[in-house]
Amino acid sequence: MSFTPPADALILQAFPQIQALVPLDQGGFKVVYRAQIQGKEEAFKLIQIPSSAGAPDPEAFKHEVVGRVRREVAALGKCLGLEIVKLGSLPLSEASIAGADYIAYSEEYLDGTDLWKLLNSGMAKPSEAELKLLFGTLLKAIRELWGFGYIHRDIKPLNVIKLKTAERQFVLLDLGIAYSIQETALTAFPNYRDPVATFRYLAPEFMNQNFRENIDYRSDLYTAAMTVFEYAAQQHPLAENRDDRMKTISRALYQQPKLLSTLRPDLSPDFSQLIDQMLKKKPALRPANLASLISRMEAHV
Amino acid sequence: MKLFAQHGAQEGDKINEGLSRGLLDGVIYSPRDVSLANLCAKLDFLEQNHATVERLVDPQYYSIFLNATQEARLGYLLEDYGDYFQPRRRGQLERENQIQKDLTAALTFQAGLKVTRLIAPNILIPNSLNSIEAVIAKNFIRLAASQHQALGDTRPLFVTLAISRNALGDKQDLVEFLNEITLLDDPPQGFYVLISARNSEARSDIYNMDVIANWMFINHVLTLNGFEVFNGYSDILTPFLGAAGGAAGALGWWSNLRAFSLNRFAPSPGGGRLPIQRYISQALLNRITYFELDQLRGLLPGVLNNLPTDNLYDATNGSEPQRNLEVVQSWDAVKALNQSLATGGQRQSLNKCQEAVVKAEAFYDTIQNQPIRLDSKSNAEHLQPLAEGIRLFEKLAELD
Repeated sequence: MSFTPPADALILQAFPQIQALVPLDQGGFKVVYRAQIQGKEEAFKLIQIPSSAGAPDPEAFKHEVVGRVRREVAALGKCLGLEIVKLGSLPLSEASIAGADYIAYSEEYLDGTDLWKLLNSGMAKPSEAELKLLFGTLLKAIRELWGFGYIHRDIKPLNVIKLKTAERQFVLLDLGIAYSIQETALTAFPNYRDPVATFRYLAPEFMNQNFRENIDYRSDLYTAAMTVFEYAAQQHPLAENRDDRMKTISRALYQQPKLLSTLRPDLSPDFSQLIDQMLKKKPALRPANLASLISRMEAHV
Repeated sequence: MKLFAQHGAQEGDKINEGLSRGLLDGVIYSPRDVSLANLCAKLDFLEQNHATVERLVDPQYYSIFLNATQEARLGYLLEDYGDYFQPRRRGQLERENQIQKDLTAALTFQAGLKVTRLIAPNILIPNSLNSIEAVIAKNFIRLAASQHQALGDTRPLFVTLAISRNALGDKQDLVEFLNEITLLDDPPQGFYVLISARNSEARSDIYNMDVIANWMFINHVLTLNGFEVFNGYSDILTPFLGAAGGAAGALGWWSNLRAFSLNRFAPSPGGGRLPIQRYISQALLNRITYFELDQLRGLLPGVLNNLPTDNLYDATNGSEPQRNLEVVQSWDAVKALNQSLATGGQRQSLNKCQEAVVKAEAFYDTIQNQPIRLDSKSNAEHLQPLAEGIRLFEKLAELD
């Protein structure tokens, strides 16, 4: 589903603290701009609260959309590590533009390229040192999020930015569908809907109808490893581009993934085996000692 | 893969013999079978004479519900180990503060002993991993490390994980149980894993493909998640558990020290006679009686291990060993199996285990062509569960 963003002039009128909008990305009901806010370059995120006409329970649907944005902002506000994108100076604000309801906030502007774009740019295959840095970064982000009871639930190449700075090379974005084990679930009518997820990067346990009872950060370990795998091998360990959603889910549930060691024989067996192990279907088979995993990644960088 | 002596009644000089021959990497003492004064003396002796050997004490708390049972065979536990071994009912352990108190008592007690690692107590999960007992057991596991830290003891902490083979029936429950205990805020360094049979003579209780697969799976999952796993009463399965990731296994001299069962602590029906001495043949992955060995060794020399302890079964004496040295041969054979099967990478090790089973099947086929009839414990019934257990484990662990 997509929407047409309002004209820039109307946005600037609704949010007078903002100047100079440059579109960066758009998806679903969300559009992201590079903007000047209080003299600083930031990423301005504008989310339309969809019209509830036709929905079986309009208020529940609206509650979910707004709730997800609020949770994202709350989570970002708690996280201090540089591995996760930081909030900008525009706090969560609501506005009505041309008869539609919006919610908006800003994040720091990250001068870099997401891994999905890099993967599609014909880039050279990354070195083991870079892959370990990437995985280590994602592990630290997962650790911080879990410390506050969050599961990111949407780690994928599109949500990881590679920056141009040596001291901060990768940053994890977009907690838009983050799951909180400490808060009431936001998904409206969960028994009648597919899980909220990007199916190409779906941890198999999310297809268990009762996943909310025992989900934990090992789902993020799975998707982080999947991201590293795809970035390393320049192919997905399971999904094929021609697959429909059913086929993608079926592969996530039943098919053994490709082995990184066969696609990147130049990588150390220790590293390849770890990534392969993280792609096991059963969460208990994914090594979960984050401190140990992070030190393993740092020891080799 | 390390090998420990599983201590029990009538130790005599058996452990010293195993240690002096270099067959043992440690000892797991049974408080039920040794007075506190003697236990301390034994630990002192080991520290002074075998400094590199692991000195462990199984708190045997899993037998605590028998404390109120008349004629329960709890040995020294009641009198000498009352600091932590007090009567308990299940309802009491549904309260977290009681678990904390019992953990503190057991760990404080062990901290005063010359052990190399502390083993936190736990109850036995008798029927299901989705039960009140499983919740109690998880609480012991969750709370152990914080109680240990409060003592300020720097020795590594292991936690008992005692599961009945009946409770391993539901794979989904096992996976979810392991999911939970591998995600602890305050983890111990390792687990002391016990799988109980209905009684120590029930060979099929343990030599069952599901039990073998699940026991291997427990070792695999815990090791993957950074825990060391010491298996009690693991006997000839020790190298197979090692192939799955386990760090150590143990066996002792009586059948009740080679298969874990609460029957050992329960009131006894009485009677019984001394068992016939047996010989572990690596080629058969099994024990055979000394007189079966005597018949076979001339016809099929491959039944012998070619280890130094073969000399204990003197062919000129009908291959009958001294009763107290039977266990020394067991340790020698299992140690050799560990060295040949549980080495190298996991894939390689599992392949070696599978090959060993195939070779054992072939060897049993050869025996069938001889005019010898093996008794029910010596026959090949263990091999199919072993072969299928390994395959099932590989499936569970997603290694297939």
